[in-house]
Amino acid sequence: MTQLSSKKLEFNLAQEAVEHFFEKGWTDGLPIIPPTPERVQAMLDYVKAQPSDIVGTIPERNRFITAEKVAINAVMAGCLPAYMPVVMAAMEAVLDPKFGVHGPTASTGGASILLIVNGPIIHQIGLNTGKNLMGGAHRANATIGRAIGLIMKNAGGSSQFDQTTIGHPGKISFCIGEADVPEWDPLHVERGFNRSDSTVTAFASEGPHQINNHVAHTPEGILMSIADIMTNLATFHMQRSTQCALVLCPEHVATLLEHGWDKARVKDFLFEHARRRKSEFYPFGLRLEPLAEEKDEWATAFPSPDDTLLITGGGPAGRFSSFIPGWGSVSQSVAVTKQVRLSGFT
Amino acid sequence: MILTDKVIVLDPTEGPVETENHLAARLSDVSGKRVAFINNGKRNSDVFLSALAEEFRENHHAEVVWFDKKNPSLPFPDALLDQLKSCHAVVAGVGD
Repeated sequence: MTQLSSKKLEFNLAQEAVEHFFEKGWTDGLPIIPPTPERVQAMLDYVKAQPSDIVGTIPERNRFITAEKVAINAVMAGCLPAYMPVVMAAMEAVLDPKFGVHGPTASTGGASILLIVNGPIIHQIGLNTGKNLMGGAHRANATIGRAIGLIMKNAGGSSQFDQTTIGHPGKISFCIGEADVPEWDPLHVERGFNRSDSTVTAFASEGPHQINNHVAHTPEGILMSIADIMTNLATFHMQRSTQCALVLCPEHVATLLEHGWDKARVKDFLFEHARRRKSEFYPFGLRLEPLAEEKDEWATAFPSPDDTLLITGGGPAGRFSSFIPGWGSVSQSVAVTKQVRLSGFT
Repeated sequence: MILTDKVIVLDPTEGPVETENHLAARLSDVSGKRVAFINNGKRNSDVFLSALAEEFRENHHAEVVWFDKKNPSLPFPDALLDQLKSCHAVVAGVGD
């Protein structure tokens, strides 16, 4: 059993601690919950972790992320101990080499870390999958997403390395749950887990693009609208090969289900239609003339149908879905899914 | 009521692990020396570095070894790092 080893700071009032954290640049611009030893220990106890346990590393920055620093920053974000299994699994995903966390959290491209949660944990901790999916107002979503940002800032070196030009509000917190649609396999089942498992998927993402089609009542009409949004040329995903996330709202899903479409068919359709000829880049100055041996005349929005993280969610009313492009390229970062557990995070 | 209890909180930060890195011995000139150039893969980095490599080769008589880093945001692969050991100096810039 190891003891908490972080430096202890003493204040007369909790508000003084909050102001001190602002002054030190340890927050994301919002007030924090003071991370008292008791609160931090409760977090660690919930996942049966020792303070010194190593959750993962960032080799490019010589950083080791301990369970203690994860717990401290999760407290600061406003997490409850019951959220800790999701936070720990999310950090495991973020620190997986395939995620390549140094790139998206250093890049001028300003990616956020989108967390997609699946499985029974959604209902156990009250994660929102419905109305106002990305708009806040739910403690679990807001604080779990925020915890990842604070961990990266305070222990992962992002306060030093982050060179974001513009960014987007999801950098503060971006965590959603996938709504259950019995007819379709949820994301974690598509990625090899059982439906009864709980998982979190980390994805380096740009901001969400809303897709408005209240008129079409055919799969093709809805999906062509999505394909159109997906194929703006001045984007990472059209100029390179990136994964993307697509959140289909319940009304759009209902239309697809009425016509017997499954996720695979949706993704295949989008792969076929979310593409533009490479010659269309030239007027924008985005691409040089093709090499003589260049045979592929199409630029696709994503490199293969399975590079779309297709999930369902959002409020029951309104025919608005959302496209969330990825950062960089698939050679630099891909989505990583980890199982949410109650212990054994090292 | 007088509150006398102090509020104790924990520092949320953690710095990098300290390593005993030190600068390599400086070369007085590069003539006859094996000099590695690492193109980090960012746009135009190859343009700048290839011009610099040419300068080293033509005017300073260095033996130039060229490496392309396929992925600008991931660490240089261990196998290539091993190859660098045979070089007297490395030029590693960041282009973008």
